Order: sequence, then structure tokens, then C-alpha cells
Amino acid sequence: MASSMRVVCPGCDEEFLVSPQFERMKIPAKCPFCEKEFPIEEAKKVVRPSPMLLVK
Amino acid sequence: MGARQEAKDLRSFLRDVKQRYPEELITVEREADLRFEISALLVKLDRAHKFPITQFTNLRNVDGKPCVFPLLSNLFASRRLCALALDSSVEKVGLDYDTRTQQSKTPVIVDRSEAPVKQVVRRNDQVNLFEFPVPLPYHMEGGRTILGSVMTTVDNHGGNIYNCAYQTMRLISPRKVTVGLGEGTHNWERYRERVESTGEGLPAVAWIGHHPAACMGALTRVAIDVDEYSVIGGALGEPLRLTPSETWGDKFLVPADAEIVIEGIIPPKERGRHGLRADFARYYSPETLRPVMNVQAITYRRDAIYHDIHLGGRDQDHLGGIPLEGSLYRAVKQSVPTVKNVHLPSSGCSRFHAYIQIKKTAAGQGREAIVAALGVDRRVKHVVVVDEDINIFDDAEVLWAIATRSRWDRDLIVIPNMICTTRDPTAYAGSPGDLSYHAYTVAKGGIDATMPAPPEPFEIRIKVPDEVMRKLQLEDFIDKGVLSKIPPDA
Repeated sequence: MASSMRVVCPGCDEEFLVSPQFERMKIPAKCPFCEKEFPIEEAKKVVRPSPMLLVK
Repeated sequence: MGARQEAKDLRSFLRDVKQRYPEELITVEREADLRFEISALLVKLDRAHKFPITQFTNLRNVDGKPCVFPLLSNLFASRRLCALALDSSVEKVGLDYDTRTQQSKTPVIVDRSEAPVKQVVRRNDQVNLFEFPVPLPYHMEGGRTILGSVMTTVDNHGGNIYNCAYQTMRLISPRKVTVGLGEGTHNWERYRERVESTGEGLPAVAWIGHHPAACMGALTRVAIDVDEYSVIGGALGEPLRLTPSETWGDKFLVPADAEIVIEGIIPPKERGRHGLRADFARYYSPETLRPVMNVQAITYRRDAIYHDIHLGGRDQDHLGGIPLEGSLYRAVKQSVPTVKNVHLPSSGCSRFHAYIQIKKTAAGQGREAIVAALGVDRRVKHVVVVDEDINIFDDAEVLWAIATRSRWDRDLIVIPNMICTTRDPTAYAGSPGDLSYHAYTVAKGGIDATMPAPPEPFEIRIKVPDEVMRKLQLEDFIDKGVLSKIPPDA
């Protein structure tokens, strides 16, 4: 999806997708590999979608 | 309506398959792990271009205990078997589906005692959805999801109008799921209306396992005031048999011949994690917040078959694509009466690409067909229009038509910023994370790969005379043993 973020889990280092809806609503991400829940700011890495993809 | 044994259901269809195409129904008796092994086996079959209906009989349920329910998948993976379900042919199954669903049949109501789905009834604390063999199909999947569930809601104010749609259910606990209700669907509209006007929860039923014509009938595009149980009867070719639900009695009827029925309430405002999941486009959808359903009762056959959909394969392609072919054909026919056929190939997940075959009689018909098709469904993105000599079930032939009959300075149409599915990875989003229905747009278009209309001249396609092709058999010239040993090329 053009607007999903990639995050790296601080628990198991696996990368997965999170909707920015979660970040905006301050809902913790949940890793599908180790099931760790964590605030998105604690992710080892966050890659946000490029604004280039937004509708003008 | 005759006696129960005459009603069409999943079992009657499997009997038909066993009789007509026994090699396309297989049973896996070796224990398969619900974590990835079911999908690994089906992906390998897909790659070998084999699409049998596959039943797994030796499984452990979500709780890890030996499972009494077999799992059946790939019900729609073979186009030949989809055609069998709709008394049609491989080429015309989408068109015949559309014709059948235009001929609704009013459902019949049968007593609970005549309904196979009532053989086992469990209410409240007796309910445990973890008893079912719900697989974990792909590596990033965020939980177990019931995929073969037709979510049904009813409007009792307008004369019992039922709406049905395939909507996923992610298991949260033995009696609670999140429901993939999406904006723009009638079930969502009903949910929003009920929540906003009354604050009450929405009664909902999910039914699993039925005749494939009934399942495909649940995907018909109808207005919100059209009863979809009647449309399903049209697809089936006979009235759908219904029976009172356990929770709401005759105010909410459920399919009597389903394998499993799940009854519950979708409460207002409550949302749950609908975790990462595979989608039809062969990518993962990110985790989102979705309405939850509190399950009140489940009923099922004593030897119920758990029907699962093989995501990201031909099974899911045909389930959504065949009904859409019919809708496209009907829409294009209004602009181009000489349209011959429509196909949504697996190369476009049976949603994104549409191949339209026309008998061209006038200039401009190719472009007319493109524009008509693009307005039918937000998932259709690329339309290729070809002449009637092109086999639209063969991607290579369609690409050949593009190669030799299109000039992109004249024959290519691109329309920017059209509403598209949120599942298109190239979509432009309104804002990051905005998952609302109208927030996604993309450029769509089509290629007119038709020859000029007669009497304009065009090159003539090479061919061996028809009568020679009909008469000549390879085995008459090449030894059968030699022939069978020649490997197919890549």
C-alpha cells in the first residue's frame, strides 16, 4: 500500500508493515513474528511513505 | 422445492466433481501443519499449473488439538470446475454468471429440523472458534483469519433485505473476532447507519461452505435495496433454502445448507486489531483497526467441512474475477453491442487487467469499450481490447495483439486520478494512513489493440488451413512414447 510504514521490531529485528493510522492514534505496533507490542517511536527503524505518493 | 437431498450445497457439488472430473478432487491424508504448510502445498500446485479442489483431513485445530473438521481449499481454482458449478463453459462462465444473477429466485424457508447446518448448535460459553482448522498462510500474517466467510446483514425495515459479502474474520479469542468490514460495502453502510441512528449493535451472520454458485452469488454487485439471498438463488439456479437463526429466529434467516454458521453482534464504536494479512494483489495489507464481532452462537453439520480460500492464488482470483467479468460484459455491451467476451486474467489478479474481445464494426469501438469497462469497478485498472480472432484466455495472444495492432500515439488511453482499490500498491493516498474509501486514486487506462474496422485493409494473419489442423493428430506422425518424453519449454 502506498501509505504503509515499514518498521523493524526492537524485539526480534524482523521487518513488518504498520498503517500510519496507528502512529497518529498512538496505538502500539504489534510484531507478527514475536508478538511484541511497542510504541512506534521505539522501533529500531521506521520507513515512512514518500510524500511523492500523495494526491495533489 | 423438493426434498432436502435435492438441494444444491457443497456436498452435491463435490459429488458432481467426483463424477465428471474425479482427477480434480484430491484428499491429503498426511498431517499438514496449519502454519504455512497448507499454503505451501497449494502454492506448489499453482506453480505446477494444477488446480484441484484439495481436502485436508489430518489437521490440528487452532488450539493444537486433533481437529475433527476437514479443511477444503481451491474450490474456485479451476475455471473448468467454476463452469461446472454454473452449468456453463470455461469461456462463458462469467457471462452466464451475470445472466443467472439477473434472474433472482425468492428463497424458501425450511424448519430447523430440515436444516443440516443445525445438526450441532452451540451457544454462548459453548462457542469455541479455535476448534476450527483456521490456517496461518503467509510469513508476515498477523494471526489466524477465517477467509471463507460470507458476512451477512439484514435490513428488517425494508422487507427483510439481506446483504452478503466475503469479509475476513481475524480470531481474537474463542468468541470474538475482528471483521474486515470495509467502507463502500453495503454491510459497512448498514453498520454505520445502525450505529449512528440507534447506537445498537449490528446483528450479523457469517456462513461458511456452500455450493460454489451460492458463494459466487454472494459477490454480485447489486443495489443496497436488493435482497442478495434472492440473487444467490439466481446464481444457484434454484431458491436458496433458509432457516431461522438461533439468536434472532425468523427475523434473521441463515442458509440451511451451509456447512457452518456463525452468529454475532457487531457493537458500535468498538474496534480491534485486524492484523497484517495477505490480500488479493499478492501483497500484505498493514494492520488496521476494524469493528469486532461478539459471537453468540455457532451451528454446523455434524461432519462439517471447513471451507478456506487460497489467498493470492487462482482460487481467490476466480472467486472475485468471474462475477466481475459478467458485470464488465454487461456494461461494455451497452456501448459496444458487438462485444463477444471478457476475461480478467490471473496475471492481473483477476481484478486489475481486463481483456475485452469485440467484433469490430466501426472505428472508435475499442476506445468506447475501454471507457465503459473502467467505470464498472474501482479495481479494474488496465483494459486491453482485441479482435474476435484473439484468444483472451491466453496472455501471450493478447500481448501479440498489442505488439502488432496498437500504436500508442493513437491507441493508448490514460486517465489520471481515478478512484482505485486501496490494495493497489501504486495508488496515490489522500494522506498517510487514510484508509477511507475515496482517498485512493491512480492512473488507469487501456490499449485499443484491434485492427481497423472493415472495410479498411490490414495485414492478414498466417494460419494453416482449418481442415488440416482439425484432421492432423500428432500421434499419427510421432510415436506416443517419444511425444510424452519431450519436456515442455519454459
